[in-house]
Amino acid sequence: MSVEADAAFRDEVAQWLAANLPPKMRTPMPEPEIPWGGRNARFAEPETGLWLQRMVERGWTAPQWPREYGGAGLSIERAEILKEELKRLNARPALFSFGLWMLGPVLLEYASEEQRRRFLPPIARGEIRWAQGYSEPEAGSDLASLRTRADDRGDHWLVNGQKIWTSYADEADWMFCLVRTGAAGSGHAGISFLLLDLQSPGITIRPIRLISGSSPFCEVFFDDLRVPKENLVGRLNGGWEIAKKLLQYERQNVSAVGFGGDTSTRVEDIAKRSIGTTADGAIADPELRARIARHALHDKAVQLTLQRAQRETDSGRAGALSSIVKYLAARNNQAHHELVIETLGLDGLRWSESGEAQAWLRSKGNSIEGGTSEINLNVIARRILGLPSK
Amino acid sequence: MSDANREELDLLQRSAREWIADCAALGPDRGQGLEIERQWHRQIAEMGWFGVAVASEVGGAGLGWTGLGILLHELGRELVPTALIANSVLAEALKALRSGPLLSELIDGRVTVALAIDGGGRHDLGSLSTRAIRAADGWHLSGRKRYVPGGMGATHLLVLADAEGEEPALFIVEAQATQRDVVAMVDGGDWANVAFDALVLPASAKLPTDATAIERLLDIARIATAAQMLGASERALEISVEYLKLRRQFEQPIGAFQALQHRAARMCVEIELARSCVEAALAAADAGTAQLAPLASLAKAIGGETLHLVSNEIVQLHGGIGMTEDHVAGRYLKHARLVEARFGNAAWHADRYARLSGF
Repeated sequence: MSVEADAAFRDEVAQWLAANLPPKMRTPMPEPEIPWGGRNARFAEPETGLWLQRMVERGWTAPQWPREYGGAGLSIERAEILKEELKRLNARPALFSFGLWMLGPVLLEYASEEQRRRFLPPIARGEIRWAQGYSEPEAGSDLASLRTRADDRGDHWLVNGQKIWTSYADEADWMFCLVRTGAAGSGHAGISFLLLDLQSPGITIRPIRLISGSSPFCEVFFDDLRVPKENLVGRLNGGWEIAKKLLQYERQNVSAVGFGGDTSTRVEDIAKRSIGTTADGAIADPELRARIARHALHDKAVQLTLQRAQRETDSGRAGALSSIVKYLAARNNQAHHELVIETLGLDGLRWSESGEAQAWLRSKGNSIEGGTSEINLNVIARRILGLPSK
Repeated sequence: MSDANREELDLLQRSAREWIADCAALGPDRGQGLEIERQWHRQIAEMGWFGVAVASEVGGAGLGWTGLGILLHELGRELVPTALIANSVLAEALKALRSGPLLSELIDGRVTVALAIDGGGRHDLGSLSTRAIRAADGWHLSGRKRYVPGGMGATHLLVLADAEGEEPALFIVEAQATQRDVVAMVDGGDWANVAFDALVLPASAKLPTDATAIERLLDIARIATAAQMLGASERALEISVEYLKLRRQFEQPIGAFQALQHRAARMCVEIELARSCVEAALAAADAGTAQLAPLASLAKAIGGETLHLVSNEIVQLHGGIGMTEDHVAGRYLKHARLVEARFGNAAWHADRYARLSGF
């Protein structure tokens, strides 16, 4: 691929976007308009559906996937060009999908040809929405101890057990699931990676309500669920390696999207409005002001560290900072919301449109989900500092 | 930053670490006192360190504040006392003059500067008790400065004074013309109380620096100090982690206990925060940004809080031996509080950061 050919490609992309990127798709995307796709997809904003359809036709929801799987077969350089042109116009992503971000890359690496041809195109077209079945009530930080069983019944697997904290399971069509195919107590050496159709009989899904109100999390119960033999991905009992790879892809891709808390409202602004200021513009409560100032310093330090970590990821250096960054993001977000609630007093503890109470309560989950802060500290101690396990 | 620059800076860092390991490594055998400090000063002058931040057009190496930050980081790791910050600050103040005997003496390290900023134990730029009055023969300087680091070994002092009751001003003063007394501080280092009694100074002793320029020079001193503090924090954690791996109790290395692993991990996190702030502040100083003040306060405050934590932990994690005079743990602790207080502590800078941010 020559430089001239790439430049021609960029022009082609720019022209196509000028004609095909709907105007509303250039504006910031509110949460209800996130395009998750799937069988039950409903587009509150019609231009969202139109944008998805157009990008699907070009294979540009999964630009680097081979064409036969619904992608556009672009090289890394051309995929980067496409990304830049989309960013230049502030284009919304056409499709949000765990299938695109996590399952797809892993199917490309570990699945059979039949599985790839069967499962990848519906992902790229946004027709099938996927959920992730990992954690269980008895297997959170210690995921390898999971107990959901898949027993070999000749022409099918018989699945019994339960998953928990499965985001959007009640809206998804299919689930990729970690199951125990080895003996009880076989740890990570007895885990397989299985694909389940959530419309099958034997599956019960219950949304989980959090202290902050409704959430996308669900419990999923499997009661003598039959799963076709050919839905096993990769090696029997080789699922742990696939799971780890998938988590890597999650880290790489999801960070680009960002589900983090919104700390763009500054505590100091809230304090100035609700508590008032002295003649020279300082927050009128000196003790609270001092703590807000301390937080402002830490917040800035955390932002600078996130930027530094992003530069390292972009330059391909191993994510040595990633556990540190996760730990910091949780701590910083929680500290922000605590200060907001303290500043507002009881005004912040009403259930309200502005959602301070919800956000404060929800932030307590930041140090638990996606790897607890305690696990992150373990990882930092062992992998970065080289401290010994017992 | 260019690749060539990155390579030069890596080389600078490696050679600094080597020299320090050979000649100035912290340990019970390392000497103390003005004699050995003069020796180190001559050696780093020969290596060209005093010219590292200075632009190449005026005879320096042109590696900027980032280059200076690397040297201070390495020196900070081993708690090596140095006039590098004071000399660099004065060189920066004289930059506008572009040449002159004092500038070249600074770059060669033939003069040793000490910064005489505060009149008491706390950093307070509000009302300067040291005053300069204009006279026929130049200036008459009266007042006192306390706890001047490197004051006894210095050839020149850079003195912050109130000029004619108007603005703050900086004066270059020959150290031997002042009344200096040794003050014994916890680290056993070179500290002086300095008094001026209608000291006669030539007109040229007053630097052409206005209040804004002085604030910027102080900010550079703060950022430079933060770089030193980052080095000290980093090394203190390394020493602690080595000990956690070696020390065995209850038939295992104590570093296998999760409580201690988490304490070490928290220090690692705080050090990365400090690193981000110091790097950003040094880069901003190099970029000549007008917004240096918030980043300087950020670096000094976070650098100070981090060193505060690590200096406490290094003693605690070493148990009883951490409390002995022989062990280096106590040196990091003593050094930490001295350097945290210099040019404004974390609370001072948190307040300043808030004011600069509009609250």
